[in-house]
Amino acid sequence: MFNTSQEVSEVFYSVIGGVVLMIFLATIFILSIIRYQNKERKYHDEKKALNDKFSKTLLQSRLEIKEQTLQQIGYELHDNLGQVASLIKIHLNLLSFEDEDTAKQEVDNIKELTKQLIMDIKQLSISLNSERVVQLGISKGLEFEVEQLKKIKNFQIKLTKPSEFPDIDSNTTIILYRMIQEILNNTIKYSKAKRISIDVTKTEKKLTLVFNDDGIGFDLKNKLKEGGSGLINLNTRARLINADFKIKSKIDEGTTIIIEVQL
Amino acid sequence: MFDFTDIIYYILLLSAIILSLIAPKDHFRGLIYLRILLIVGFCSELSVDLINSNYKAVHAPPSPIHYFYIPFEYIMLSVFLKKYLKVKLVKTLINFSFIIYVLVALYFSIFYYSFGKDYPGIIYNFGIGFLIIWSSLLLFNLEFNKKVKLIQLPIFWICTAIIILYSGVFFYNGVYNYLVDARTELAYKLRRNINLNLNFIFYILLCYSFICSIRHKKSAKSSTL
Repeated sequence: MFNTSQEVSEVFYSVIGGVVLMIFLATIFILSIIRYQNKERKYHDEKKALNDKFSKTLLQSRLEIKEQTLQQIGYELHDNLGQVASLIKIHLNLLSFEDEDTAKQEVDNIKELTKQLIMDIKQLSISLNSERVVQLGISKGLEFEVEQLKKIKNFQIKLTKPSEFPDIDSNTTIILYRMIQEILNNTIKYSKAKRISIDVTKTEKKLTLVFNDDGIGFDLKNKLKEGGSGLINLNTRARLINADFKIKSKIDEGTTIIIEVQL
Repeated sequence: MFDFTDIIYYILLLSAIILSLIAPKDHFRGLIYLRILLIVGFCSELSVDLINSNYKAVHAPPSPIHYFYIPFEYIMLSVFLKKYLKVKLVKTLINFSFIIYVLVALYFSIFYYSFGKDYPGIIYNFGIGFLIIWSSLLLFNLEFNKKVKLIQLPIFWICTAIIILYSGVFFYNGVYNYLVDARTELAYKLRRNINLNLNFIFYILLCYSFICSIRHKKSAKSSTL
């Protein structure tokens, strides 16, 4: 079978070499597993850190939104609901049954004011209730906000939007809706605009909302230098929902705000 | 009867048994299977050596004990590895492999080796293939506590030991029986060089895995204190 000792040696070293090679490959394989597991661990650690950071920012934003919501409630109660309730009280004080026609007129006025008060409370609750916002969705929510603003009649407001809206998760819907509310509130409060337009467009990859007004505008750099917490908050919230947030504004040239939500 | 390398082999095997008995059961899933395997392994190796003590080492015939020990070893190691696997499909495959393995082992033992003609290399290699697959899958899917490093885990060293021992033995087993017939002395020389050295590595790694579990228990104890 094996004629010479050289052939025997060849077989011996071939087998030994083969075994050593197999063990070498096994060792490489084990080292790769260690590397893979370490990478996996690093990836999970980074993912967890990002998730923690995201949760922290989300919580902070929620607290800010809550604070703003409370401010809005205070504002609505004082400037709107409180006024109507005061008017009802005045009408009730003036109510006299000496003249039946005048009394009837006054009761009708009170009825109308009470109806308005109930409507305002209902609309305020819709506007503030996050669950309701999720149920309505961004499309209906925008319509609702625009309808509310139209009642003010100090400016023209125009909404252009696609017939179908993409499905957006509840967290994104709430944050986006609150951003829309804040942008519109700021526009009404500070811009002195006569015309406001909201253009919504949708592609396969993103949903774009463009808010444009012809108001007094502002200097973005100065605003940010002064603190501009409202703008910073809007930007933080946009990042939370994986959206791009851009502002273009110049003094006396109005403001354009663009939100691009990645789908 | 026993030469120096045999004595080292038995010392390492005995050390592994002792450390497995010291290792904490609650910090080492499936430890009982390793304990049983090591004790049975020690007894069977000793029996084979005692039975063959009348023969010159080179000419010792294959022992029928191997025909029972090799399937037993496969089942014990597979059951042990199964304890750590999380994927249900792999667990089912391991269960299924027991039936296949026993049937294959029986078939080859009866019809091919007649329980003693040759060393049951095919039966051994069949189990080795499966064990390397299970160990690799386990290492890839190992889930562990973030406070512990991978190399501090006993199961990591056990899988490493299995992969290194069996990847070497697999290659050698293929030619062993052929060489026993063709060149008995060469086969014996190779067995001494490969099998014994790989077993040394295997038992050293096994001992280290038990030490890891003992250390782990101590550190867990001190952290609770």
